[in-house]
Amino acid sequence: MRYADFDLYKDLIHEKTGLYIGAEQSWVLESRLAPVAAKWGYPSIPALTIALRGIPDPGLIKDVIEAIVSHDTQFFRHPEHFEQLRDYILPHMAMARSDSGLLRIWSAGCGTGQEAYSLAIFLRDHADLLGGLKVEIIATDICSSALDQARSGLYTQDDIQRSLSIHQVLSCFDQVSGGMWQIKPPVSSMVRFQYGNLLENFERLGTFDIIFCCNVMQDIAHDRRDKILKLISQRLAEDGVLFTEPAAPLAT
Amino acid sequence: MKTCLIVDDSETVRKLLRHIVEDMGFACIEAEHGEAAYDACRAQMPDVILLDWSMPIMNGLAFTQKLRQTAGGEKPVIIFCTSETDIGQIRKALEAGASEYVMKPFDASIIRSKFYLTGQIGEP
Repeated sequence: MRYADFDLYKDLIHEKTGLYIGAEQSWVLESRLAPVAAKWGYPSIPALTIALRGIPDPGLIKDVIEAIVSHDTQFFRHPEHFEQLRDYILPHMAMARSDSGLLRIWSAGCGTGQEAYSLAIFLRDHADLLGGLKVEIIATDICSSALDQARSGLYTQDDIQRSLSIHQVLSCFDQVSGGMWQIKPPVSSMVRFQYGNLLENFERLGTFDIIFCCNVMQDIAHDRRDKILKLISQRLAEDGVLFTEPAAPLAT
Repeated sequence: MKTCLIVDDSETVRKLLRHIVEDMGFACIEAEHGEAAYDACRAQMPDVILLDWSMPIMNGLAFTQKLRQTAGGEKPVIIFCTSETDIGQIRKALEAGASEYVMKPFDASIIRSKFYLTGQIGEP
């Protein structure tokens, strides 16, 4: 891919999502754009790129962004977060939220849903720590196809073997055809998936007690990171907890 | 050093698992079928057993049932590692006394994850 063409995609993604793609990812870009070019009837990626330089259909822009930004997620990707939930955060929240009776959690940048479902599974397994609190998990992402997959609750054998115990698999998933596994309704009903761009104001979502913004921050350009953290923090209760990508240094 | 008994009638699978498990700091013993595995356990009870299902002479399910009825046989963590992927088979293995279950194909991180979940290693 020519540098000038790569810059177009880099700028488009940065403008619309705040995410940063480096030149070393250009080879991945081509494989992800090929199906988009085919869908919209462009004979090649350069032809697709020319169209994007003109006045492209908003649907085309959306498809291009989604093809590029989809990211891998995994069940219980950060076990240390769940240890902190178990040891400190849930016991605190059980007392602090006893009046309202509700615990609100936001999975920001949820991808295909594994983080949100991990939270649901964990909270079911540790219901004794909740002190009778009801739980609401909201999960947002910019990629509609990832959200569709998350809502389907369908995962591969490989997905469910990573970081889930077999006992969790049997209690929270049904085995369905084609070697796939599907989240059971008592678990899926704990999570609501919605479209959300981290650059937007999320006032509509209300206030949260715990926010997870992991697996996204390392892809966010520096100049957007502070803005996104500020917007997310505005949704956090005064004694709320924000989990973010461990390796992402925060600007002071 | 902790020990792991690898039970599979495929030498290729045993070699692959040995490589993964030795990387986690375990000393490995191998057996080609359930009967050889049981003899190995009688000689020295391992900490973990990675166990195939379909094997000649004695299969993984029969081995698990026999081991769990043996004095000291309740101790090892038994992780099935098998191409039996049906949920009914998984339940049978757990009822027989398996601790965990891996469906083939697997990779190193899946095995590590199961070792972590069963408390055999400190981090995944």
